[in-house]
Amino acid sequence: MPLYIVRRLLEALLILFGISVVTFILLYLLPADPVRQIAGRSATAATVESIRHQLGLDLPLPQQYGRYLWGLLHGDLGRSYLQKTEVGALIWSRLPATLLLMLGAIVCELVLGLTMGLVAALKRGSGLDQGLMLISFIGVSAPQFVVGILLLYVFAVQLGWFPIGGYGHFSNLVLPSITLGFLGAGWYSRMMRSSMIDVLRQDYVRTARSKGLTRAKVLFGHAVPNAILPIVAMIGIDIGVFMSGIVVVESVFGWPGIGQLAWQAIQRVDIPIIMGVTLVSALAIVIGNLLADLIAPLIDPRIKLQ
Amino acid sequence: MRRQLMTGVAAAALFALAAGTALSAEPKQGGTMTATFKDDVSTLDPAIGYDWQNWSMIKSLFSRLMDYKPGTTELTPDLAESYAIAPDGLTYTFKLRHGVKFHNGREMTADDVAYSYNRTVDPKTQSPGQGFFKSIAGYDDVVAGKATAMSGIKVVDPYTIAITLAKPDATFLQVVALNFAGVVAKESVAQYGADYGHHPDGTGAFYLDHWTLGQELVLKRNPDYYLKGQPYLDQLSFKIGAEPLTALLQLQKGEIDYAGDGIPPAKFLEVMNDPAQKKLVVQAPQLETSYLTIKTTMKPFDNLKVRQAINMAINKERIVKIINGRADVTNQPLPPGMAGYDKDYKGYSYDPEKAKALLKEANYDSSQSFDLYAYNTDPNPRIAQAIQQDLAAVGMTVAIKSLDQANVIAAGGEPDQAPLIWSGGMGWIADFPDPSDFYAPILGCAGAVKGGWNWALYCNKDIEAMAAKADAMVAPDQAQARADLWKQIFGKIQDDAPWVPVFNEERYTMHSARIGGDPSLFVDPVHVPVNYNYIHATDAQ
Amino acid sequence: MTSPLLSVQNLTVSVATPAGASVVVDRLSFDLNRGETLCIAGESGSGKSMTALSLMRLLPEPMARVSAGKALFKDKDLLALSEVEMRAVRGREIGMIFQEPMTSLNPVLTIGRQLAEAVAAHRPMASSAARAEAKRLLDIVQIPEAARRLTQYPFELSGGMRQRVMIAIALSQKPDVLIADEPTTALDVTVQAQILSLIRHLQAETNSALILITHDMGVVAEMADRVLVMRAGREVEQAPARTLFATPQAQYTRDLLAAVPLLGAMQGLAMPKGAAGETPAGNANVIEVDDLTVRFDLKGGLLRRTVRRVHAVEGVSLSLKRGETLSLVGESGCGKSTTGKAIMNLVPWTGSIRVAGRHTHGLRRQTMKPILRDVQMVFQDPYASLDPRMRVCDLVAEPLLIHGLAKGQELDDRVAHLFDRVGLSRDLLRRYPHEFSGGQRRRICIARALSLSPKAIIADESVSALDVSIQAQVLDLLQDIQNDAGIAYLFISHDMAVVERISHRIAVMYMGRIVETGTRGQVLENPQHDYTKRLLASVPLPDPARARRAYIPYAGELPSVVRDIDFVPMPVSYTDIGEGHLVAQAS
Repeated sequence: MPLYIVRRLLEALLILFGISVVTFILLYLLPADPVRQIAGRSATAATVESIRHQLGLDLPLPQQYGRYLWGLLHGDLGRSYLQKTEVGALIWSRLPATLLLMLGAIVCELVLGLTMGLVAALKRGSGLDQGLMLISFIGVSAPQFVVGILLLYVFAVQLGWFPIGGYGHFSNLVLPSITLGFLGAGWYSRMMRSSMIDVLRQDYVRTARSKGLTRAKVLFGHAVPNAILPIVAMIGIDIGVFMSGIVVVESVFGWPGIGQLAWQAIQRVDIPIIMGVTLVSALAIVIGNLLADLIAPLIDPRIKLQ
Repeated sequence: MRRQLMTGVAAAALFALAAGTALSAEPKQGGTMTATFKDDVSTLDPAIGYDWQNWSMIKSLFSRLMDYKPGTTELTPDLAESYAIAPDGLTYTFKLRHGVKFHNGREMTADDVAYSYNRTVDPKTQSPGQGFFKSIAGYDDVVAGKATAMSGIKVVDPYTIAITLAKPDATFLQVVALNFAGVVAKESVAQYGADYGHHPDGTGAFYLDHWTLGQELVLKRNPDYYLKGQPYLDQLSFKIGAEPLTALLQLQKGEIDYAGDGIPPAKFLEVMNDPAQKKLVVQAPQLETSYLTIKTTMKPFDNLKVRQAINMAINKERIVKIINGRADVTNQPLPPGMAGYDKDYKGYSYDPEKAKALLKEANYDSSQSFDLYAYNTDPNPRIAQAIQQDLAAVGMTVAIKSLDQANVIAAGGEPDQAPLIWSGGMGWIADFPDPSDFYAPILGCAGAVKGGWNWALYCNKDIEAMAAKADAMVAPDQAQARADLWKQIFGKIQDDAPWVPVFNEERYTMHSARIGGDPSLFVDPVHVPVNYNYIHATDAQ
Repeated sequence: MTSPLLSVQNLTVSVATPAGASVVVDRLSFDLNRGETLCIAGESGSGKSMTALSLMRLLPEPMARVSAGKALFKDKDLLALSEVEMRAVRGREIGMIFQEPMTSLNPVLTIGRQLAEAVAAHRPMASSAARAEAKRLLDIVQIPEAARRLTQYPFELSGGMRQRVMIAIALSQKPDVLIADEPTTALDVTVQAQILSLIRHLQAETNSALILITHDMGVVAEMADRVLVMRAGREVEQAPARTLFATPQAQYTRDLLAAVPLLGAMQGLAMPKGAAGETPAGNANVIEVDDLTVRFDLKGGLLRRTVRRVHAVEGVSLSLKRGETLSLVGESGCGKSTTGKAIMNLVPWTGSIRVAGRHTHGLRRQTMKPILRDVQMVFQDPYASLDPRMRVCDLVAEPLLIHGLAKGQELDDRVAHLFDRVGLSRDLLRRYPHEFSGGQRRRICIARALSLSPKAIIADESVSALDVSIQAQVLDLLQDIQNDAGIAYLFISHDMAVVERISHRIAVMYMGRIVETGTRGQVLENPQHDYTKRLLASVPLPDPARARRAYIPYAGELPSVVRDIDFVPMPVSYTDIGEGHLVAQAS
């Protein structure tokens, strides 16, 4: 087991290295010039070149990358071109908010998705089933921006149950988490429904019934633990899915996470921030997958970590 | 505060008077304003900050030798008590106020002014405002790294500073009113280094109380501010991150007082059709022009007839309708309200038939297609489509390339790319209210280089000479003659048709009823977007 | 005589199908007395499992449901109880053992939890008490190291072990009636013998009644007091076991018994059943295998190095002559299928294999093609080896096309002829695999194998999991083909009775090795190796008159062939005890 984690972490380092190389090259190939964003429109060509030189952007690509990597190995993600702040500090200040939002979203999608899927499977073919699957269809197909604004409008503006955006209290977390988790809830409810229907047909459920167990014990003691197995494997992947949704959700709710940081950095070609956020996201995805893989054997003993 | 009270009177004197007499109409000090911006405040370093959201914050945190009367474009001394211009127009001598203190408690002196200017020009600072100081003697040596201080700046005594220019510059008083000329405390810069932008230390009306990165900035009233009785508000809170639509909902709900990103286009009509909400909206023209650039060096756009034809082909009224009438159609680069604007200028009128005829004369080959670049945020792609349709109607085929701002700007600076660019969303907003700012970078020869901002690559030596002449007209009594010269210059530019000037945007600011002040403060042409120093809370006790 | 413990009257079960309701159990009546064993026997589709499930009210509703009848049990009608009342009956009064031990236990819960849960289902008790009881039950069903097993998961246990756990669960609440639905079908024969004797032993101890559902007449003879023969949902015949086997009344029962291959029925005969012509002993070798070894590496660790090794086949030598059937018999994991795959070059191997005189070692897919004209394989799972999207005529024609042997009209004719040969109607040519029954699919596979007119066919479990009557037909077909074309068969099977019927020679495999080989008579009538003897002794015989085997204590299961990487297998030597009857000697 420790061996496994070590191996996975080494793999993760390789992945991160690969991602850093690819991102670096892609950013280099961009036609947009970060120096002109820094220099402003009153700058002369000489000023632009002077800034380019200070930032080392006039060096050949491999040398630029070497410098970046050297900094990275010393835990230095560089400084933002435009904000002049350390990228590490910028990301660090926003990471807790993003992680909190992701956690909220995971809880939401699991609670919503699993409940909806379970109920739909048990009431298969009924109107309730169809209604729930309609909601799940909306979940997988509705744009998160629209979902977010709609939730805001109904629950914050009209009903006044929650504040309109903001950060700091639990009440601020609810609507963004639901918005971000709604997509996953849609997928999970579908997976849970089909998984549950499948599991209910399994021999071991029949065995459990043959023991004379109550319906609740058969369902929650035997069927559900098996039905959620394919879903747990997905949670690790979710973090990657969240990364794309987080930009939208954070801006709808004014949530101070790294999604917004990344979006603004992309708009302004602030390369150190883009690199930093990319690497941190990749790390989060890698760790998420690792955690999912580590959790999997706890709920499914058949899985052996190799 | 009433606007007519302010005009023609020295601002400092007015405020001394106002504070002393305590008119019943005079607002009380106290209260808080909460505002939102979608995008992060990148920095509060006056040498660096150049964004919509930090521009006016920096104005409130730092002071400059000169400022503008609130809500206007009229210059007035600020940190300077008075100034004098030598007869040759090259030396400016400023007398400073006594007893002005930095937020750290130390008294500000002329040394700080000199230090601040040299710092902005120092290449290591990487200031986007560096170029504005180019007329000061010794600028080139500092830029080239040969000197650390500009030779033209001389500290005469702690309260007197003399600045000598290398050549006359009529806009110099505007330059020392720019954010980039904000006076910083040297010891704080030394203390925080590259992080100074997060620990600003100035002499402004407010000081930075705390800043949670990416979340919130809180500015508090500077109790030692040198203009007694100012500012009114005890505290300014800026919440970061909310989508304009969300911010509007919060504003309607009374959770915030001011939505920094304005009214989202989708909600504009709804707000304007509701009398209760409309009452809280302040409207004013902006010192801005949105235009279509035509790359004058690329075939077939090097042909004047083709450029004129494009000017006649575009239906500007229809474009303004697309944005719900939030702009006024224009026919020249300078916006109204700017010296040199020619209200009698006729320009090219919408005339597709004549455009076709011109194209025919130019032997325009209709089988070609050209790229029309546009910034990819609403409503710019829609406007680009309208332009595409108008051009198609006269037989020109263009393909729209809708890209990120940075990529459009990059293509604009390339001689062989982006023959046509719609400037919307990246349009030219004045750095300072002077016509020269609308010439040199975007229509002058200096900007017409690879990587420059003159996307039309328009460079006319005759006009260049006229502009130099205008810039040398520094005496206050030459102001009218100078404005007339600029009027001429822009008229000649229009004859060459490097642009299609399309409209001047109107600014609409919505604020809560809790916040009061002259409407002009909410659409201040210089303290963009809002002049925080003079607005007040109506519920202040 | 007292009134019966359970009295089923006119039980009728219907299943919803796209074509409307179909009756799968039709007015079935039977009684069950305390301590009695009733076997319900029948082929697939006879409705025997449905009968069992309807008594437990565990039918897969709403697709299947009881439409009429009563099941009187202790003054109540099981079929009329509410779900809550029925819950009190399940486990407590009627326990059930299911067919598939692999899938009948919850894969993610420990054995201890699943057992303790059953123990405490109807009596509230402390979890420590339930756990102690669970351990006691595991001891009763003779699972070694019971305390450790409680913490294990089903996948860590062998099939036989799991079925013991199922039995423990079924017995946990001391039910009056135990229903066992094909409890040993999925198990190896030596394990089956142990499980059957265990059930009998426990039943005698608790004096509970047993309903045993099986398709295997050998199991019936071994276990039953009374027998109920079912066919297509109806009772065919109901009689005490001895009477039924001795004097079957119904024609169907007689046919069924006649189709059951009876181990020992061919004592003294030299040739397989229905074989024509001479003994092939003097014919040329078609396949010669020398010192075949197949090992698979198991990777692990940080660098994915080999950490363990599966010794699937170790030093196997055999030869197959033209017109001869050599059977490879043994239990699961003994290496018999792997040997077949090695001959087809489907797994990496070492040693020497010659097919019609040509060495196959090192041949690649392309260079193996000419060899495949001489040897073909019929796989274990006919459904998995037929592409469901292809018509069967195309499936059968495929090898001919690949080898470029026929096209156009000639191809169609040859495919039609092959269909005739395996006894399938030409009307079926254009259908898809799913439209065929299990037996028909075997025939399609055989037709496909025959298409290239090979000299040898490797038949891997080609008749297992078929009903006995169908099984007999397919065996006859194989024999017919051999008589006509002189094809040699390498017949891989776990079923001793089938092997007896079809083989000229037999090789018994155990842990990757041949432990005994010789003619059918030599191996079956004079077994020498311990394992052969044990295997033969385990086969249930359809003869209730034979003395029932005494209780077999837990005898362990097949040892693992996964070894450490430094394991060096001991060499094996064979003693010829006469006329080519070779027996392995432990050296």
